[in-house]
Amino acid sequence: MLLYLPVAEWPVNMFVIFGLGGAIGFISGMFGVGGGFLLTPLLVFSGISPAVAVATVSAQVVASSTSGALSYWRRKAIDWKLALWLLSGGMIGSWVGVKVFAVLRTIGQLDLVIGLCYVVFLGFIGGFMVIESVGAIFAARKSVAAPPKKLREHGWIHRLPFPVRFPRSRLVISAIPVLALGAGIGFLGTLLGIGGGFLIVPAMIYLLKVPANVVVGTSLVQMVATMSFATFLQAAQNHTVDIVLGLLLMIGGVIGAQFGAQIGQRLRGEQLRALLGLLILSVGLRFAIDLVVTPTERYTVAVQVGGAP
Amino acid sequence: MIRRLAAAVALFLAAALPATAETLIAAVSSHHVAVTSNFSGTDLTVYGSVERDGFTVSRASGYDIAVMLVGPRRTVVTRRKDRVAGLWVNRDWRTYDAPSFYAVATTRPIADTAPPGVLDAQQIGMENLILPEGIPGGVEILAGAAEFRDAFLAQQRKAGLYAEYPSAVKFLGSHLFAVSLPIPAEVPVGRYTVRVVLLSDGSPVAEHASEIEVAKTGFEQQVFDLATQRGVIYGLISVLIALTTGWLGGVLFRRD
Repeated sequence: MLLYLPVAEWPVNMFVIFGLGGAIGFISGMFGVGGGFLLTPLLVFSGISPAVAVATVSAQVVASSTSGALSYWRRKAIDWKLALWLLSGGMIGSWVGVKVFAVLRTIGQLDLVIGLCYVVFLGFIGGFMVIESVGAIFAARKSVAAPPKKLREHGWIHRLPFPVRFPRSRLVISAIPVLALGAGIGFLGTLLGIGGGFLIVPAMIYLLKVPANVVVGTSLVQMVATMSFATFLQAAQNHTVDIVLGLLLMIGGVIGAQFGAQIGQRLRGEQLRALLGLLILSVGLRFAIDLVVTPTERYTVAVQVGGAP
Repeated sequence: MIRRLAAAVALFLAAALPATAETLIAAVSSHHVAVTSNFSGTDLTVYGSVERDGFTVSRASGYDIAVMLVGPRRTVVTRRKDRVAGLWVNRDWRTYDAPSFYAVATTRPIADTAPPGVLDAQQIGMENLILPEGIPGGVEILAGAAEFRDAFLAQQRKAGLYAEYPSAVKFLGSHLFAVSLPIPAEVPVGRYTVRVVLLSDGSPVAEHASEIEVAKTGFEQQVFDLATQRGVIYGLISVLIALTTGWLGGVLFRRD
């Protein structure tokens, strides 16, 4: 059934979009990530302009993170103070992201920057996850326990000035890396239309040394807040949020996530990480191919936005 | 004074002379195309009649009709990717002040209906469209790089926004004609002009123009207006919808 999207000004097949939301929801439920990094490229592939896709997916990320955040809240697995610090950084990053987004769109380099960022971040994170989890799988096979990591080992990040105490995480850490991490995720999230869960979770574990039991809940809270802010800014400044498209994706996503979560519970941690790593890596690879291989169509036509390109 | 007198004399003579031009009567099937939520494209029928009377000059070669449906003009950017340090990057670009939609239907292949000069003046055929090229300084030049122009036209054709339907206008008998122009689902909204040109022996003898409106209606229009004119309120509503959907999902599928 064809549905005309009022802001994207594009007709889409309602069931295709619904199914897309469901499939991404399934993956996000299975791996515990938002799935924005898959959804944005898929929307662009189905004919929706990158500007609308990025902005609308930020609304979808809000919806998909909210249910997760609520469930962690009930389990009291959230460090609210840390979340608050992260999202104050996130708001700044988000605000800068919307500005940069508008400029890039005007000069016609939005696709290039989105592509490059996907290649760099997805390639890096995906590659890291695959190597790490494959190592863990082999270690488990040999039934040799991996050497226990000293999670509490304090590196240079913990010696920076302006220490702040986070009692829930039993952590004293400088405000600088916390704000910077929040700002970085907010900026990338807004620019790329991703929640950034796959970036912030490893960063919190490996850089800030936040205990594992509060990492996911806290990152979800910061994602809900930062992406809400991003959605609002995109709607207010760039007029690119298509709420009809967003709602379809959200409903599909919420349903798909339930099934994904059930499958996810049956898989072992390192298997999940290896699969997710491969998935992230392949999306990054896809973007790399698009940037390097001679395009079949060298010309693109777009309605001019803003001033002179 | 003399000139005015001459004009009056000419007018008198023209009225008195037996040979007059044909009158073109045309109408469209609908003046309002509503882009609703389930809009999947439609057809616009343009029909009309070539009216002759006893004084109309006889035409040896018969008539040709060109029907054009032209959308509101807008500024579009055509960009070309070039290889920079191994990557394909948008580099050179041209902006055009171009119709957002252009469809033309004729009775015969376009090139057969009239000489290039006439097709150009009447804006019949994609190749003959005047596309003023915008320069950042505000100066507009008419002739742009042919490469960009061709690429632009090819892209518009591929997107279904520009189309040519040669030999699609059919004469029903000797006076009546009709054509059905497809309007795709991706049609841009705005005021469209429908121009019908009557050609004989390769020269335009009569013309008829009317307007139709392609508009979103009801819900689609309201959402669009809200999104573009009241971005702040729309943004707040969007966030609220996202939060509510997420919360509902969490409540409905609560597992813990």
